[in-house]
Amino acid sequence: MSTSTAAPRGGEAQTSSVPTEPDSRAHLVEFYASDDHLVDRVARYLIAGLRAGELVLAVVTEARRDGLARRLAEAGLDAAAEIAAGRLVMLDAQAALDAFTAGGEPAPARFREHIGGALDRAALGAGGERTVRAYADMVDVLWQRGEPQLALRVESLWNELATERSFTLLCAYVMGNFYRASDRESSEATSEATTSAQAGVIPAERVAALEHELAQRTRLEAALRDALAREQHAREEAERAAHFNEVFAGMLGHDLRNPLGAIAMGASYIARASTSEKITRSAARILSSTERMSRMIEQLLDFSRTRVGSALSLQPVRLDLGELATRVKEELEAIHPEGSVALELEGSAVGAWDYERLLRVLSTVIGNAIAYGTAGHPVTVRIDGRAPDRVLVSVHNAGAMPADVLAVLFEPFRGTSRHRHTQGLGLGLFIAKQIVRAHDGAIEAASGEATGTTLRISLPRGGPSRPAAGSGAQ
Amino acid sequence: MTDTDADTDADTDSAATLERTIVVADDEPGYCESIKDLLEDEGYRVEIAADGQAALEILRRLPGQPCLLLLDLIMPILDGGDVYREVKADPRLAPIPVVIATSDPTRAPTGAMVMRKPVKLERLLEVVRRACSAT
Repeated sequence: MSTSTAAPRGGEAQTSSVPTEPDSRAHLVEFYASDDHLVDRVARYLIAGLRAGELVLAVVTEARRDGLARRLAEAGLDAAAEIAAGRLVMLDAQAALDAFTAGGEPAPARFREHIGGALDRAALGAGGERTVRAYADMVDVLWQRGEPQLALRVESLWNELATERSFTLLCAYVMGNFYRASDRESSEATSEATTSAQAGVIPAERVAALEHELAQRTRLEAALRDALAREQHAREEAERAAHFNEVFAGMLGHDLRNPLGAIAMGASYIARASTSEKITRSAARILSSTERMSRMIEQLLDFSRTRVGSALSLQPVRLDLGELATRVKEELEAIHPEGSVALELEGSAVGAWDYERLLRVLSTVIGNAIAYGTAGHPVTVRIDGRAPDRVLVSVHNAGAMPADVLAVLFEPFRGTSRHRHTQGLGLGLFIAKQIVRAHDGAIEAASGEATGTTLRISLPRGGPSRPAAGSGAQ
Repeated sequence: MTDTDADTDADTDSAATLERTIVVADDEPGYCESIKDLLEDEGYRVEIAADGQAALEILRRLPGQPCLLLLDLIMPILDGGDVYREVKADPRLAPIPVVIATSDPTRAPTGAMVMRKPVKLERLLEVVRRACSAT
């Protein structure tokens, strides 16, 4: 048995045993001959993850599910209890394949929704985004079914998921299903054989089977290497393009904002110095437009940064979310006199977060709630700081959101006609999600005709200013 | 009064004048000129630098300390972050109040007071009044 380890950035696959502490985002491939041996290896890999406090996702066949549960029990871990606690998620491999396969082909969007969703839910279920360790039988199921190309496509889909999420993955391939089939046939033949001549045929068949097995494995390894090389090349290209875009957007942002600043300052001066009401009004319109353009440039710059992956740099400081929300409430109520915001605070809302970034998040979320709210119904912002390790923010308005909008709420450039009257580019919530994720937090939305719309943000308090458990209101 | 006048007229560098002198370092001429017009209307004297190196030269040339350095971050020759560090490392210049005017406050040096661009006029006047009445 051997394991090929493909680092997230691709490169040459190397052979080793399954590491119990693989690099973050490693993609491991295990070749196995004995099912028991594989279950033992996988169990060790998963147990190491559970003991390290990682979240573990296992997409396994029914038979392996039982085997793994037994191995976990031998190691003193109760699989049912781990599942109940949200530390272990087990999915059925065949059901998963059915869920993301359309017309006999793995559908990337369904894969992202089903498997990516499972990874996200596993992380969110534990109250935030944490390292996830995954094992999946799906490629093995396809491989055993004699569909190596489909297996490789599923491998590629896993690799695509790894570009957006941080997780370690172990997949397995049985060595020689042909060999094993031949072995079974041979055994049957042996039991039925009555002459040494018949028995003498068996070694020759085995040699042929082994040769076939070796050829199959060589082809598979070559295909895996090719897939990894293509993945590596595509990733490098994407990184180069992203870096170029970031530099370009940064320069463009600076070069656009500078004259915009001059226009704004000039208009401000004219508005202040002029005694003509018409001129003052005209200057105010110029100012309003420059502010709108400035916001759009800012969004584009943030978007550009987030596309580079984890490039959102944070400067955490000790911060009170209650005070920040109060500031946002006052600013937004001044801009939208028709909207009102009710702010409710429980416990301590103090933590270590990036002030500017969270100001952006709250402005976006509360601003949207006002813009899409219902007249006469205030937006409610609840800040729950009762938990020692995190602060929960929920922003609610009475408006209901159509399911198709809700489904893509955090996607960039949601430029539907419904949003044309807004002042942005449809990037606000996308950027808000990136900022929350950069803080190891989570953001989600729910909406219904009867309940209205609620966005919930969960933010770990962070290290430096983590208040003592049970601390009261500030 | 123009900045050229200020270079040549010794009286303009008196302590009283310096108390109401503001150095604006920014590579956008239109922005600087508007600020200069505005602040001169308010009775301040304004020195303009189009890059970080020019800002340091003005600060070192003045016989005393201006009441405020309004500093852009991204500038040619020497950027605002480097100017800030040089000012704070120079015992004679270190007491000068510095306000970083930037559209990306995350890039501002730690500990510096930051004013977000585009700068709101009322906010600018508030900061200037506070800095220049305290010196």
